[in-house]
Order: sequence, then structure tokens, then C-alpha cells
Amino acid sequence: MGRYIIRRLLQALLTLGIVLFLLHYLMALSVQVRGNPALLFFGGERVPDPAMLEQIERLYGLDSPCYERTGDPCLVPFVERLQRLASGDLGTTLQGNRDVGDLLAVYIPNTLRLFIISTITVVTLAMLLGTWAARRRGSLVDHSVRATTILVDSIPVFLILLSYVYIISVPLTKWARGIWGTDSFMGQFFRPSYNPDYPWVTIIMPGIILGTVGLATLTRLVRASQLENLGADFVRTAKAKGLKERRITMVHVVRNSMIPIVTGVGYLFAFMLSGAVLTEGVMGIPGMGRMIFQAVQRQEINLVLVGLTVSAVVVVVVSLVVDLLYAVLDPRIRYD
Amino acid sequence: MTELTVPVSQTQRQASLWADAFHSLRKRPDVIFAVLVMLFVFAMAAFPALFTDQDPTVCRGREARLQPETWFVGEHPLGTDGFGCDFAAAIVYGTRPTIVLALTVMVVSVAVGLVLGITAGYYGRWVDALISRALDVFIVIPMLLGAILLLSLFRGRSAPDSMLETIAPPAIALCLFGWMEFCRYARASTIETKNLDYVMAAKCLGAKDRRIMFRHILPNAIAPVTAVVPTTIGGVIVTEAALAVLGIGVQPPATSWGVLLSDGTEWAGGGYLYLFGIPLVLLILTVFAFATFGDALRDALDPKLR
Amino acid sequence: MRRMRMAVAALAAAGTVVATAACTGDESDVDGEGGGGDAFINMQIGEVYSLIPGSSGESEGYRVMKNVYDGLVYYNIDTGEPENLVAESITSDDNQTWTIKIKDGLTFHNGEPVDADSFIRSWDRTAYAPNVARLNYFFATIEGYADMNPDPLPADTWADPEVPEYDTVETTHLSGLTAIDPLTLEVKLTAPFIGFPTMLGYEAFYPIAEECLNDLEACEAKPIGNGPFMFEEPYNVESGGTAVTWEDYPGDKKPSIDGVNWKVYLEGQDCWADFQTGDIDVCRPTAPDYESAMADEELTSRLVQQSDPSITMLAFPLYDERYQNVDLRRAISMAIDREGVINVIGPDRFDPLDSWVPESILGGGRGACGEYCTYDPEGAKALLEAAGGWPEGEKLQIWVNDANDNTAIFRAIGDSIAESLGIEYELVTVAWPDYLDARDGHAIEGPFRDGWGPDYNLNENYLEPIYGGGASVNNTGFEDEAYNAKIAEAGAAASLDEAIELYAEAEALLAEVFPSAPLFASKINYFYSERLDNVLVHPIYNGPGGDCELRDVTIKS
Repeated sequence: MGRYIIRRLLQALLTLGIVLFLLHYLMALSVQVRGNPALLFFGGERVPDPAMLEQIERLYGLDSPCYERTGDPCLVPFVERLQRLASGDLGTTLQGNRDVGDLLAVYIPNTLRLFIISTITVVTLAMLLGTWAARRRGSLVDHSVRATTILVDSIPVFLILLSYVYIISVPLTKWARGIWGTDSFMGQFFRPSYNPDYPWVTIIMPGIILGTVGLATLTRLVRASQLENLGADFVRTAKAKGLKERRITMVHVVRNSMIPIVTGVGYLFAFMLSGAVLTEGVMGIPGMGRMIFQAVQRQEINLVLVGLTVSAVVVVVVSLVVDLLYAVLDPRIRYD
Repeated sequence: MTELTVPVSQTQRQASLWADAFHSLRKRPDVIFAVLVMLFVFAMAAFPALFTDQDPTVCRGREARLQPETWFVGEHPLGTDGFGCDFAAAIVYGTRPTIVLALTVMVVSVAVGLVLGITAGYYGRWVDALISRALDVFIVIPMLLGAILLLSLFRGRSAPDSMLETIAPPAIALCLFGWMEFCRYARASTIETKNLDYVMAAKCLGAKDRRIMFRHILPNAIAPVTAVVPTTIGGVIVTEAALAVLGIGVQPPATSWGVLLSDGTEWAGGGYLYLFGIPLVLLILTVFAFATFGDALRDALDPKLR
Repeated sequence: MRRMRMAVAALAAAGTVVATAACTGDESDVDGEGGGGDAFINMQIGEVYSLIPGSSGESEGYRVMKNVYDGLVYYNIDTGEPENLVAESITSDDNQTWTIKIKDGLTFHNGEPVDADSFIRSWDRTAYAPNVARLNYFFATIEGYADMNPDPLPADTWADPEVPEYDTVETTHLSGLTAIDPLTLEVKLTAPFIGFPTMLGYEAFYPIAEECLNDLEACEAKPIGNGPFMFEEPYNVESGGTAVTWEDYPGDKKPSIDGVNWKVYLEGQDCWADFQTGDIDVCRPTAPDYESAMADEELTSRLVQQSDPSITMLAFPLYDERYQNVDLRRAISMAIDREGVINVIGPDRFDPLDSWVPESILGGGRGACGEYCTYDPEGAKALLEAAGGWPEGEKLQIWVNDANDNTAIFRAIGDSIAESLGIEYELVTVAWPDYLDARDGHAIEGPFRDGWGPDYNLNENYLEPIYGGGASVNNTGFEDEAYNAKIAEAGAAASLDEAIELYAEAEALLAEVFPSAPLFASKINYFYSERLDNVLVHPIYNGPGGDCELRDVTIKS
């Protein structure tokens, strides 16, 4: 087990290293092909004075001659960037010269909150629906659960969001405020946009909607693994021992079907990150997804790299944890 | 999947798997419905002229957003779109880029995934290590995020002449981040198959690596991969729509369902619900059909769940 | 100025908006949030670039600053003409040396005096090249600017042949600025410019307190101004902030509201849903929301609709040999159904434009483009014939930067040209940075989108910056001797009225060469909540997403 963990850790580090370099190379290529983003510093309507442009390039480390040679991997700036990252200096943004570390301190908690709510939503729904469908296998319930979850999955999450914001949320908010008042929980709950004064309340609805991503996949996983367990020897033994139905379901079936769910959630995580780009954009949540999208649009090299690095670290760590949990949850799996 | 296989001949086993799958699929009404929807959409993509006699490139600004008052008949059977083009024609002619994009991404991803997966699984050692690391690296960046990154970073200028040029940027971006799932499945089933008796036997008889991979391993790897294909097509259609809404997918004046949807979301609020509703229903129906079909196919090809 | 409009993500409005059917009698829940009391107004705002005078140069930063700072002049809400605010008088004998007298007894929020030095301090900072202030170019007309913004050293002395090198800038003071006494400032320009006082109300010319300059970072978050509003808590670019009315504001017109909460909406987000729930007081709806809002009679009584001086043009690459014939350029302009295009992007967002200077600007709206800006497919075809026809098999390229709904607008324009002239077109959509590169490098190979928002209220601002500077510098490659002579003559005119007439004559000369086809003048449609009164929108300086004059607005009790 110890050796397995060390091997996985080393692999994860290697993966991260490669991801970092590839991202850096992509950004460098983009600068080489498309021209210097320092121009954007000036907003772009007028040609800036070359002296000022030069100043800006130096300020943001874009003055290295490698950015003029298409295809050059720009190793020197890469190493410099790694050194700065290692010393905890995340750099500043091109527009506004703001400290990236400060930005992350605001963005990461917001995205985390969003993910917590989405994960709770999707796991709860999938467990309920999947268990229900498994218990009534082959019945109308089974088929309609399957059809419904697939249908929900087929509707792109951003369309659900847009419909919510523009059709449902305004009348709901007015109705809620008419009864409970503006500053009440309900008065904020249905708001069409995020409000930093109510960081939890106003993030629940977008979180729930984002939670519909991958509902079908997870429900199917739950159903399949419960079916497998329902027919397994230990469940039959338990039944033979005369254990109560409820206890069998809780202890034997549900617990054992946790394994694929853990994997499934880890896998969904990456999807949620994509969903966060759209969710945070539509609802105005200052989080990582929105930051990365805007940074990419503006050629904010530093911001893109830091943002994607954070996301890569999280994905790698999550999959590492999932693998290890897998080993813990399933005693049959042994590593050496 | 099956460690202790009865020594049945490989082709026979495969044939019965597919035949069983076909039989079980044929009986399910949801599958029949899904297949009908898929055929309809493919027909629209292949023969748009059968569905409309209007030219989608004739657009008059003054005739923009005429409500479909006559419904399915008259000069504009579904009204006109935001630019004053015939809306029915826009939808019908927008189907081809959408479907071609989805199929291209699927075919390329499957091909790349199979080749890499089988190579990794068959040769093992450093080849496997290399490909597995690549797999890890690409999985770290989610598909939509990766596509956003590539499409925005290398946006530059675009003035596509043909449909292929139109869909090329999103297709390349989606392919780059779409092959991993297939690769994983192929690799897993290759590792499982390569130690089976008949593969060993073929090896001992001196069969070439390439022959073993194609004749003996590929047929085994195909089944789990096939089950994912319809769902992937649906996923690509949705991702294309998301990219269009973000403004970095297929670029107007070229049309796709995603472009129509992103225009439609804008206008739905002003009382032009049909501009949003019709492409939305079409998209959901199509994605739903692919997903249902894929779901059924997965069950049919997975003997454990039968 | 409207840089915020280069927004990208078009996650635009969607869904059927359920109209704000009369909010019967629950006035109590309309109050805002975040800042206490009913007399706070809730405004939407975009991303603020900077809150230090001279560093912002976009509409949103200016919207905050114009309330936190008092400039030398303020623009009259009706006429747009400059009126003295901090200045006692602004005079000149020759339009080249200007004497500005400052009112006595004015201070910053922190008690520092507002005097000649506070202006010199600010202007020197912006003009000094190494400070990379965005509005640096505003000071190019003042003597001594060249010393602070040197040209690159000779190319053969650079270490890397690609990277220009510069002497270090020693000069930190604009030599054209002199404080004659604490309250008198003398400004020497490099050439006579009658419009100089009109520029002085802009952000670049605000004073800066010494305390601010000593700690710019703190001042960026919590500006130290001399205007009617002040920050007690730092402003946050992500989440906005609250400014309260300055109790000791010495000016004549103290605002009637207690303060303002700014809520930030970034690119792709819009305030309409929040406006409907009463969380935002002034908002501009998107085109579809506008249509449904106009169907609600009660709501239309709370609409501010007026023209906005931003204009959109289809510029021609005069450096390209295919576009040398003036009749070809005129034919393309005549082939555009401006009304039809407006119908595509939504009613009342634009007005068709038939001059190079819009009506809302001093000296604008003369109709200089005339018949060539009127849709006439037959006339256009005839002109195209006269110009020798369109080359067989070639597509007309229309270049556009892919931000916002530019693509939609220019697709509709392309459709219209294609139908009128019977030729094919293609849309070349280019990302903003690449577009800038191509435009400045004269690499654009067809008619292209060009837009302009004014820096100050004078028709000169639409003529000199866009078409001056010589063929190699301006976007279209336009250069005309008669035109340049007319501009110079106008700059040296004896009175502003005379100058305006002379600039208008220069505009008429543009029509002869036709370097660009005027397309649209923008229009403002802002709705405001029922608790507001006296909502005035500045004709020139306003935020694109919804804005009003905070010095004038009142809140009903």
C-alpha cells in the first residue's frame, strides 16, 4: 500500500509538471502567433507610445526575445515562472495590475461553495433515484427514472440556467420578497444573480442547477452497482440470516455501492469545472470558471496559467484521493 | 470481463455478442424511437433540399423576425430568423455542420483512442507508461475548458470558405480533448484480452503483432468503445452549442444548431420564443435519442447487466 | 472610451421575460441593500480599470471618478458645453497660452487644498511616459510632452534588433505648466487649440491630492477626491463599493441622495433581471428585453431615451488599390439598408447616421454624407457601374472585430450590400488584439468596422483624431491637403463658434474623399425604478449599461 501511494504521488507530480509545461507552451505559441498582449494594457483604441509598450512588456516578463520566434518553447521564461510560483509569487494581471493571489483568495471559495452544493445535489439525487430504480428493476419506475435522467442530462446546463434566470427567478423573487421581505433568506434565495453580501444563500440555486450535470451517469452507476450487490452472495446470506430489509439495504447494499459512486463523483468533477465556466458567467459569481474564461479571452497569460494550474492540481488531487479511497473502500483491491 | 472463457472461436463469440445485442435492442420501443429521430436528423444533414425549398443565404433585414403565422406552409413555414432569412431553411441547412462536426470528432477520437489504447495495452512497459501519462495529462483539462483555451488563444482571423473550414477549429479542439475515454476502454480490454489462450496461441504460431492487434484484440476492444459512441456524439452536439453561446464555436454567417440557439436565446425574451424553442427542442430530442440509444447499447453489449 | 464594450462572452439575455406587471403597493421592499438608508441609489457598473485620474480612460472608471472628483469644468447636461466648476475662469488671447484661475477655498476630502499645484502634480504624473497612464496622449498638445515621451534610440544601437530601446526619461515635469500663483495655472500648448477648455472636464485633467500620490495603491481603492461623493470603504473591482455624500462639499450643488452603491456586472452579464426585482435602480435592457419592456405602459413612463454620441462606421482601406475609386466607396455606402440593419439588431438601439459628426455633438449633424448615406439600391448599382463594376468572382471582404454583436451587425450589412449590388461577400471576423494589429498595420483588405466615442464635446474630436496625422498613421490611410489646412485654420480660430463652423467645413471636405461610410449613431435607452426622480443622463459621458447624473437624481420619500 505504501509503495502504491508513493508511486501514485510521483505519477501525479509528473502529470502536473507536463500539464504546466504544455500550458506554458500553448500560451507562448499564442503570443508568438498572434502578437503581444501587452497592447491590451492600453485598451487598444490608440497605438501606444513604444516606450510605454516596452515598459509594460518588461513589467510582465513578455520582453524575452523567444516570444518573437514561433515554435520556440520559451524555456527560460518557463523556469522563471516556476521559480516565482514556487516562492509563492503568483504575479499580477495585465489589465489593472492586480495581484493574482488576492484574486484567487476571492474566487476559490466561491467556486468551492458552488461545487459543494452541486456535489450534494447530484449525489443525493443519484442515490435516491438509483436505489429506487434498482429496487424496482424492469418496472415502469425503472424506465422512467432512466428516461428522465437522460433527458435532464441532454439539456445543456447553460440553457437550464438561462431559462431559470430569465423566466422563473424574477417572479419568484418578487413573490418571496412580498411575503418574507428583501433581506430574508427566501428574499435572496431565488435571486437572478449572485450577491456577495449573501455568499451562501445566493449560490444555492446555481449550485443545484449545476448539479444536474452528469445526473444520468451517476444514477446509472448507482443502479448498476446496487443491482450487482443485490444479487451478491453476502446479501443473500444476510437475507437468509433473517436480517431486516432496511438493514440489508443500508448496510450491505448502499455501503458497497459507494465505491463506484466515489469514482463517479471524482470523474464528474472535471465536468463540473466546465459547467462552472458557464454557471459562473451567467449568474455573475466571481469564481475560477469565470476568471479562466475571461482571462483566456483577454490573453491574460499569467491568469490563465495560474487558473488552469489550480484546476489541474485539484483534478489530479481528486483523482488521487479517489484511487486511494477505492483501495480503502474495497478490501478486495490490494496493491503492492 | 470473462477470465475463464470457454474456448469458443473468436469470430463466433463476437458474432453472437452483436447478434444478441441487436435482438435485445430491436424489441425496445425507446430504441426504435431513438433510431427514428437519428434517421430524421441524418436525412436533414444529407439532403437538406428535401426539407425546404428556400435559400438560407437570402436574408433581408427588414423582414427580420417574422413570426411563423402560417406554421409549416406558406413562404416562411417557420417564420424568419433574426437576420430575415427563412428560419426553416436556416435550421435545415444548419443541421449538416452540426452533424458533420459531431461525426468527425467521434470518428477521429475513436480512431486515435483505439490505436493508442491498443498499442499501450499490447506493448506495455514504456509505451504504456508514455501513453498513460499522456492520458493523465489530457484528462486533467476538461473538454470544454480545453476547447475554450485552444479556440480563444488561436482565434486570430476567420473567414471560412467551405463548411469544412467552418467546423475545422471547433473540431480540432474537441478531438484533442475527446479521445481519452476511448483510449482507456481500449487499453483496459486489450490488457484483458492479450493473455487469453487464443491470443497466446496465435503468438506462438508466429503471427505478427499487427495481425494479432487487428484480428484478435481489436474486435474485443470494439464492444465497450461502441457503447460510448452515441453518447459521445450527443455530448459533442451539446459542447458545440456551448461554444457557440460563448461566441467561439462555429462563426457566423455560417450556421449550426449552436449558432441558432445562441441567437435564439437572445431573442426569446422579446416574444420570439420560436427562435429559441424550435432549435432547442430539436437539439434536446437529438441528444436524447443518441443518449437513449447509447444507454441501451451499453446494456446490450454488457452481458453482466442482462 | 467605451472599451467595456469589447465584451466577449455573449451569454446574452434569454427566456421569456415575465413583464414587471405593476408592483402593487409594496414600496417597502424596494429599498436597496448593502448601504443603509433609503436615500442610497443602487447603480450597475462594469469593470473599473482604475480610479486614479489619467489611468482609467474607459467609461466605468470615469463614471465613478466624475462623482468623486470635481474637474475644472463640468459639462452642461442640456447643451454639453463646458461650464466652470473648480475653475474661476479660463482665458487665452491666442488660443495657445491658457490662464486658468482656480476658485478659492476648495479642498480635497482629506483637507488638502485644491490649487494649481494639485493640477500640475496630476498632469505631470499622467504625462510621464514611465508611469504608463492610459490617458497619457491627452497631454501631447502641451509644451514639454516630447521630453517626457522620447522617441526610441536609433535602431542600430539596440541589443536585440526586435526590441526598441529608450533613453531613461529625466524630465518629470511638463515645461508648459506653470503655477503663477497658488490659484493660477498657466498652460502653454504646442499649437493654438480653441477647444482646449472643452477637454478640461475629462478625467485626465482632474487634480490629485499629495496623499494620493504618496500611496497610489491605497488611493486606487479609496480615492481622495474633491467632488461631492467620497469613499469610506475601499472600492472593490469585483464586488463594487459604496460612496457616501461628502458632508462638507463646498460646491454649489450638493447631491440630494445620501450615497450610491455600485454593483459590478462583468462582461456577458446584464442587470435587467436585478432591475426587475428592484435591486438595481437604472438599467439598460438588451434589445429583446427592450421590446418586452416597451409593451409595458407603466414601465415606459420611466424610460430615458436620447441619442448618444458614439458612432459606427464602415471604413475603407484607402491604401488598397481596389478601393481607390470614390464612386465604388459611395456605391457600397448607398447599398446599405441602414433601417433594415437596425431592425435586425433591435429597434431604438441606433439611428441611421448621415454625417461624420453626430448631431449630439457641438457642430455635428450637418448631413454631410447626404444621398450617399441613403439606401438606394438602383443608385448604388449605377454608381458601381460608373466605377467600373465589381470584379467577377471576387468576394467583398468585410472585416470586423468579433466582440459583442458586431458580427451580427456587420452580417446584416453584408447581407444588405450583397442583395443591393448583386455581389457576394464574406465576413472576416478577427479577435480584438489581432484586429488592432491589422488595422494599425494597414493589413486589412476590405471595408472594416470602425467606431468612435468622443473624449470631449466638439466636432473636432471626430475629425482630427480619426482622419488626421497623415496617411501612414490613421486607420484608413486618409490624407488630404485641403482638409488638413482647414483643420489647422479651425484650431487657430478666434472664437469657439467660428472654430465649429470651420471644422464643419472640414467635415464637408471628407465627403469628397469618402474615407468611410457613416452608419449609425448610438441611442440610449435606460429604464429607472419607480422610487427615482429627476433622472438625467449625460449626453456624452454615460456608462453603457445604465447610468444617470448622481449630482441631480433624487429619491422619492
